Amino acid sequence: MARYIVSRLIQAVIVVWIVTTFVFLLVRFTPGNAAQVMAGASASQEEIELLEIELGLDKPVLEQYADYMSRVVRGDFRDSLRFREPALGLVIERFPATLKLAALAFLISVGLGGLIGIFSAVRPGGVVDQFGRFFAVLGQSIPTFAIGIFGILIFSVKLGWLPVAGPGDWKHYILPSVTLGWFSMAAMVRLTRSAMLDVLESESVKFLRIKGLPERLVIFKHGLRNAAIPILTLASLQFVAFLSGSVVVEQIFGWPGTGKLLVESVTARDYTVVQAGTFFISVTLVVINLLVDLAYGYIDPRIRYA
Amino acid sequence: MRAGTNTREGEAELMSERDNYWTRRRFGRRTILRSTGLGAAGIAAYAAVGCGDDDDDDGGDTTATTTSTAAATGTGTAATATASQAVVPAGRIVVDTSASSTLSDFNPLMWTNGGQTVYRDSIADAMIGVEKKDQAFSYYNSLAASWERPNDGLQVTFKIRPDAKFHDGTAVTSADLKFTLDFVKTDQAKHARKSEWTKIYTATETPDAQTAIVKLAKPYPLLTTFNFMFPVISKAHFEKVGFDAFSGSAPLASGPFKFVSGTKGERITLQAVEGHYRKTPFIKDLVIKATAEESTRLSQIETGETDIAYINPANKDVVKGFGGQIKTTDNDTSFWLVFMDPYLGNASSPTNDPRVREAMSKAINRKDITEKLLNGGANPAGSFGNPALKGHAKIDPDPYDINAAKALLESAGHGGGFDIDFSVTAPVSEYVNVMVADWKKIGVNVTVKSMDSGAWLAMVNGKKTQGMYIEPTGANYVDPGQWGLFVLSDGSFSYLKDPELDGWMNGIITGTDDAAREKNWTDIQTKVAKERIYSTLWTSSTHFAVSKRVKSWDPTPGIGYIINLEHAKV
Amino acid sequence: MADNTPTAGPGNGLAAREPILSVRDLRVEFRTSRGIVRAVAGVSFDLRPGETLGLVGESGSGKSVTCLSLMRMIPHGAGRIASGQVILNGRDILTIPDKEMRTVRGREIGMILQDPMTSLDPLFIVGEQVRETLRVDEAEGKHRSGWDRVVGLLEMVRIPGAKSRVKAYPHQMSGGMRQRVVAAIALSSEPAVLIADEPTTALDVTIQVQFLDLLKSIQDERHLAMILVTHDLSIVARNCDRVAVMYAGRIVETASTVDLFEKPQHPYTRALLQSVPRLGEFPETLPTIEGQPPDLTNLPAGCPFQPRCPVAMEICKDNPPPVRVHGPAHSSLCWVDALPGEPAQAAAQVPVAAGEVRP
Repeated sequence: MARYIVSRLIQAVIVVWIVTTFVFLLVRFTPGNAAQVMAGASASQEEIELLEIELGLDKPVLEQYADYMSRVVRGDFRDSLRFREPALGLVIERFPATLKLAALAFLISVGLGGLIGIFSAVRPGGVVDQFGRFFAVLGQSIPTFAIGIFGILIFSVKLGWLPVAGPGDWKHYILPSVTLGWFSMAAMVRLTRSAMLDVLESESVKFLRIKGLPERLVIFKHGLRNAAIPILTLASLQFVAFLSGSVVVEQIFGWPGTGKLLVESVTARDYTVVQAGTFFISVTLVVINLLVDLAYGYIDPRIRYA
Repeated sequence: MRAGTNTREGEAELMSERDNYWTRRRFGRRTILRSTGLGAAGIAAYAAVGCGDDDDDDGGDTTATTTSTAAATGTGTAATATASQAVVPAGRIVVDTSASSTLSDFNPLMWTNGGQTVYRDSIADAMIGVEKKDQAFSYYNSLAASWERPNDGLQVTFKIRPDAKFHDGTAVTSADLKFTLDFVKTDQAKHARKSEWTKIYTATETPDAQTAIVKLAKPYPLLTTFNFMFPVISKAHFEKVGFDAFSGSAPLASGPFKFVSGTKGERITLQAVEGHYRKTPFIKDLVIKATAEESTRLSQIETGETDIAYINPANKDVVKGFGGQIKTTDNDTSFWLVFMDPYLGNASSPTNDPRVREAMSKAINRKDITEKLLNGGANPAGSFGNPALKGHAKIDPDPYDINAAKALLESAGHGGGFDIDFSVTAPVSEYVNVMVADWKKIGVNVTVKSMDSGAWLAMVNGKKTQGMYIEPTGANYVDPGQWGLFVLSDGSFSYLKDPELDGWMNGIITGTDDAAREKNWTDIQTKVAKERIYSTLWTSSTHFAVSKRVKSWDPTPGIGYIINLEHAKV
Repeated sequence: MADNTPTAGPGNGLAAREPILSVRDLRVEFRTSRGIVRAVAGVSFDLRPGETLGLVGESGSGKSVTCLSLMRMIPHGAGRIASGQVILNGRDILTIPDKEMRTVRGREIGMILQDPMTSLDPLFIVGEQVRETLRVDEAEGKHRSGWDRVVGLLEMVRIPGAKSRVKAYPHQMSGGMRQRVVAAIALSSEPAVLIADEPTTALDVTIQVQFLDLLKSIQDERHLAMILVTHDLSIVARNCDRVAVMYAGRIVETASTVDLFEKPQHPYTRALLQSVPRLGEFPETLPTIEGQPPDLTNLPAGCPFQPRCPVAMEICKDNPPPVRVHGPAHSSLCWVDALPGEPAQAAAQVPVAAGEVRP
């Protein structure tokens, strides 16, 4: 197990290193003089030169890279060019909003979608199966953008039940999280249903029933755990998508999260924030993958002892 | 179903909408910065202050500025505070600035972009303010009780209103103005106008608490016209909390609203200053936020979650449909086609011939483009100036006439057509394609070079390319002197080299005779229109959607921003 | 049906005992795209404590479906028990509610599946898999569920080092060991009836014998009634008291093991026996009989074995065969009066519906 963890950790570090290097190169290859682009159209030559020196752009590329990497290790991505605050701090500050939204969307997609999938598998062709799949497929067949807008028009504008956008009390979470989660739900329903069907038709489940284990335990203790690996894989992919892919939803709902920050930073050419954000998200993804790998080991002893 | 229509239109118009917002953001920024060119022009002082009674019912009034040949003076009587105190602020207005890169700094002196104008105008007063008066753009004395400038323009003496107070109750003094003007010079401020200001600004003398004498190395008319440039901040408070806190959590100025809380880039909450020296707002709470998605903004206007927001003119009817109000400014941003080759000295370029430029201009269908592609949010224009300013030349735009254009090309010896580059920012607007197709009709093959906005800016600043590009500017150009950037031979963004234009522009910058300045400005616009090195295309207006809740609020003519919220009522 | 069904005495001297399990006219149908498959078409038999009934037949003959229907484990939706009775401990378990059936499974009837490699849940330690039903029962006040009891059960099935093995995962055990765990689970709640559905097919030949011996010794200890499903006649010969031969969902012949091997009556039984080279040897492959296995969706109107039967007569084609009684507890389902060398007993006077055997 220790070897398993160590090898995963080494992989994780390599991935983060590659991503940070890529981000470094990205700024190098920005069309035109990077400092001029950062300083903006209005900057004087003097200002551009000052910025070049400040950013170390006057030094050889290798030296810049070494400096950049040593800063990355210390978590220093310089100040945001826009906000004049540490770039990484800005990203981290906005992460909880994105995380909360992602967690709720996850609850909808994986929680609700998973339950629909499980009950669909328990009674294929039953009410849950028919209605649940219809509901899920409906979510998948409408683009996220449209779900958001229709949600706003129906529940906020027409019915006046929910606020249109922006952060606030619990009501503000409903539309964005449903918008974010619904789209992914169908995939989760399908996967859970087929994974559970496979498991429930297996000999080991047949034997559980033969030995007289209550159905509740058959499904939730044995069935779910046996179906867990594909479900967990998709769930982690979806969670990652919710974290990094909430951009559209954050834009529609004016949600103050990292996705919105990054999009705006790209538009505003706030490269330090783009770098910090890319780094942060990649680290988050790597951590999630690491946790998922460890979870695989926890769920399946065959992986653990391999 | 309106919902469906709304969404579809929103998507269809995304391109032009984005263009408009991008333009706004960019211009908020560039307009100011381009004044850099003014310094190099060797400017003499001029006065351009139009003041008068505040047309609001708060009783705060300013008197007209008197000007004389000996000195330009701005005088204003201190507001009688009695009427102000009668107002008890109540209710709330939520403003949406759309542009995502707004609200990036809470220090009103940290000028980063135009989107911050809403905040800056609300939290901080400058010496001079701008407003709508008699349906027109107008100046008024804000913190200044009066000001005075000798003919050489090398110094400006401000008398500060004795009743002016910061939000913490301390008086606004000459020391604060000095601190503000000094602060712009510091590296720390990273003020966009720093390098220009360093060259112009010498020092401020403060003989007493109400008097500030600003000494200049060169005349600088924007000091008394461009209110957004020097919002006065509290020296004592800044020194107490420090630079970071002032920018991040504790800004202090003297505007009609005070800072309550904020998250950079997301949202700012302000509150009315009761008994404000100049104008106590009618509303109590002011929230400024930025939502990028137009459909969301519209929905929020409908539900009343947002009260004032920028919108795409295509959605006017949607807003009216749910009972919202539409407000517009009058053609505050102009777009013109720039022929760069004459300036760059490309002797072989056909566009060196004015007949060719005229032909190119006459092959542009301004009417259809503005009506159909820009949804009536722009109007064909012949003058590149802002119609809100005095001295605006009313020039008919070139009519769309392919045959006349062909004949002109023929007479210039280019009947067979030619090839030319056209640099535009990505994504390419639909109207660019329309223009290219029409030019094809007169035999001109135009190669569109679509580029990232960063690369485009570098291109424009560096003047490194040939052919044509479109220059949009305006939105907060409040003085003809600001056009020096585009007109003077050595203007930072100028593609004109004309001693006559230089003379007129210098006259505007240094002149003190209002009538002469206005005439110069008219002459400049007329000549530019005739030569067509800048071929004006259209001027666009900013459209504001206002919720039903808002009983009164008007934008200021010529200023494409949500300002003057102290006059808004719900 | 049940009232006029004679209950024949078993062949091994246990006649005095009342059957613990009586199956009467069991019919199971599956709906398929090609039509309704009558996988079990009227099966009846009795099982007494301490007795082992061998269920023999080709694959698809209905052995496993019969066993699963005794557990009411026919997959939901696909198939159903169309009719019949399964009397266990005096009540028809086909009519009791699902919830009650759950307490019958494992407690009154245990079952061992064919492949120990797939019967256990790979994600749980074997001890937990033994223990979990006990724990449910404990909550209902039945057994203790402590680890000592789990170890005791593993020791009962002679798993060496049972104390440490309780914490092992299935993949850490050999096939033979796993099948012992399966047996321990099947027997943990002390059922009176054990169904072993080809329990040794997946095991090595040497392990097969050990495992069957283990079952035998446990059976003797507990007076367990056992149904041993197999296609291996040598296993039948060694382990069973009585044999029922199945073909196309019907029991075509039933007899004591000795009678069956010595005096097979049904042509199919004879064919089966002939396909085994010599008694006492373990065939490597399934015994094969000429002709195609029956197509259950398209059976002939008469005897289902008729197309492959070497002694088929005209009557066999369109008329379901009657029950012929050949001796106490020995009967077959065939039109042939007397197969060569065997005088036919008085046949049942009334022809019965196809597939029915009245032992």
